[in-house]
Amino acid sequence: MNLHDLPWLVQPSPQDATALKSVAGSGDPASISELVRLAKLAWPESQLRQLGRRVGSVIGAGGGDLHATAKAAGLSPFRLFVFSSATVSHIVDQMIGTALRQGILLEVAFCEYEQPLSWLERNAAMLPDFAADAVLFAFDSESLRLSPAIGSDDDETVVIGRALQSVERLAARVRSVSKSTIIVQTLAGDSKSPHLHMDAWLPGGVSRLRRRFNDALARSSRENAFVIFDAAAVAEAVGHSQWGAGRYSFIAKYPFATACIPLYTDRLATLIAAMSGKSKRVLVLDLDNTLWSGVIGDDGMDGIVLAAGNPKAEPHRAVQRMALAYKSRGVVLCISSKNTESVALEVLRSHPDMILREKDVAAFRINWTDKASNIAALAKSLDLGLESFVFLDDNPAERKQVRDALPQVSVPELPADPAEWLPVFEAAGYFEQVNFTAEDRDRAEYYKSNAQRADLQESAGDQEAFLRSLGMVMTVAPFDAPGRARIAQLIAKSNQFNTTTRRYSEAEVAALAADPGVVAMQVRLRDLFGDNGMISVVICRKDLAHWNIDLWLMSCRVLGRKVENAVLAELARRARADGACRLTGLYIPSSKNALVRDLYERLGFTELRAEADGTTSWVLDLAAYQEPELPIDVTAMTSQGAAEENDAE
Amino acid sequence: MRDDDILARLVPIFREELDDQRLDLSLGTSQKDLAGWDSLAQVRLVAAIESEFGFQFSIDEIESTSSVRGFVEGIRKRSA
Repeated sequence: MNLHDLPWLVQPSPQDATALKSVAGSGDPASISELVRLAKLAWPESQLRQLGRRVGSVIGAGGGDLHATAKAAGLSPFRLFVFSSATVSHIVDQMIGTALRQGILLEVAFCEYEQPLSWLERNAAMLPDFAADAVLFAFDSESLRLSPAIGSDDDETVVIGRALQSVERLAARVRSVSKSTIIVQTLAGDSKSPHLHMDAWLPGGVSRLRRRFNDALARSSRENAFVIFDAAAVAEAVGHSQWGAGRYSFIAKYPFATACIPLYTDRLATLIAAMSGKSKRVLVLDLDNTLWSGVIGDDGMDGIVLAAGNPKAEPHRAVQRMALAYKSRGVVLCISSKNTESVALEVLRSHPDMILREKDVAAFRINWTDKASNIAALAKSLDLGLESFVFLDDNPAERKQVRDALPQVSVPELPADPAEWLPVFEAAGYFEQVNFTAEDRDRAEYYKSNAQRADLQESAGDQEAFLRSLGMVMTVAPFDAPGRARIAQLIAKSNQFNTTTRRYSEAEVAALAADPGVVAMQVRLRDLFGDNGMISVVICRKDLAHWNIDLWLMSCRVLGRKVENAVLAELARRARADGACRLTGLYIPSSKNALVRDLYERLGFTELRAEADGTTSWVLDLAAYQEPELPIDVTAMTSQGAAEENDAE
Repeated sequence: MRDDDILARLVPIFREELDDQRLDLSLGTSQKDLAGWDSLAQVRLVAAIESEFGFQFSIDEIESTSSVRGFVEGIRKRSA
């Protein structure tokens, strides 16, 4: 098993290879869905390149308009610019082919070999014209001049500082002309330099130097809101002897072996997907022969193999530990199993060797219905899209059933031996995300308390009485530095309750906060079951007599709780105080935001205009607006107050 | 190995690497006859031919070979 062959993906059949040769690169829906299907297979490098070319010609067939073509095809557009000290042109098609695996229509431009700053001097307009969503810095130690004298701590520190400075200077330069997110790639190891054991501590030794530079780059990424692409970790997973380009680094300046291109582009595409709000959020686990060895319905509590130290049990215990590790990062765990519910739950509740427990699971469907229907039901009850689901099952037939019925769900192929599962599963990097916030850590708890609220709702009967019994307190504060990461994350990820789906990067969020013509609010909600964290973001642009709502999003966790009514009431209060007479809003339809098509109408706005593409614009006359009676207390905070609350987490 | 046999194995490689399934190839075809055969394609062709025939060209050969005949001769030399 070789990780660079992408073993978690389905291998292409001979029919698929023929289909790849004949698929048209036109923009018609049939050929696009065929391309998307083919993109999900584990193609080797040269066929991946052919796939990428077909995808590229789809954009060409759409008149070269990336956004229009993507919209027509139901894909997310993304423009990537690459600065590389090695060759890039031989990877571009593969990047484009791989991105389609994530539902992304990618366009790539690049500067290869050359010093970026001198390239920018000559091509000043190119970067802003390209309007890149992200700019990737892929440098090697040579171009960063990481070659200190051996044995000198001081020299090493100076050399690393200088290299980091050149990266940060380039980032500042890029940001001065574009709104792109910066992606920085860590330095992967190579097999061309001396690697002696003592190089682990020897100043100037290659392994120590690389580690120190990568650490510094990671710190800088956190401070400057770069996204980090850890090529070093990808190279280590396959091993440096396989990663190295060998003679091709001398012949053609390839940065790594061509056999590793599919893995490199896959990991990059997963990161781009996370930046585009396409992170996976739910892990659905099978039970029998996945979480334990054996079949609980046949073998019983004493028959299934689960004890620590038992070689048959350990691989399954490792799966349980992996699931818990993801839970602590905010992944929601679910169970889908063909079993009698009471029998299977008994294992989660009382088997002494279980690591994963019922309390760790947000929702389950344990019955004899097919798994695809059950996963669809889980998606409905959690209010999360099927695109955010990953399904782990030992049984190839179950995997195929889910994959065929629900192509949006990620279903990893697994080696036959459970002991080999985890390296394959981890190499897929399903749960890639670009930020980590307190909300992520506590997400599993939110889903639990949602279930508790649902119980209360049932007992309260009357909806109004239920909402009042929740004791909701909403906090509204302007954008501030401590909240910035979560604000950017909500903007990147929210798809359903999102009026315009405008995506702003962390840097743009900071710029909006500083703009006096903009009113930007972060909204948090507490109730008697706990803190829901930041659940809504509103950005308004001030015009002469009106405030124009540029973006309004809300987490679907708090749907049906009148939060949007309370947000509007607060917005109206502030706009009036500012002397505005009207609020205006826009609804731009996406494939996922039908939920808010009638939002403005429900809130009492009047429709101004409807465009052919479904975009509608709305106005609310503030003189006529009356604040409704709401079951939510509102606290308006200054930036400082919100900062303290963020710190307290 | 006869030149024709070598050529027969080169055709699918050229078609694949130059992304043209209808490409015609003869011993006389050279780099300037095929638009897609640029320096990047040269490296891809070399890599694919090396893995098909199981040997490595020298860097001199990679730089100087600019025709199908050149590749065929390099392959014949090693399979004698």
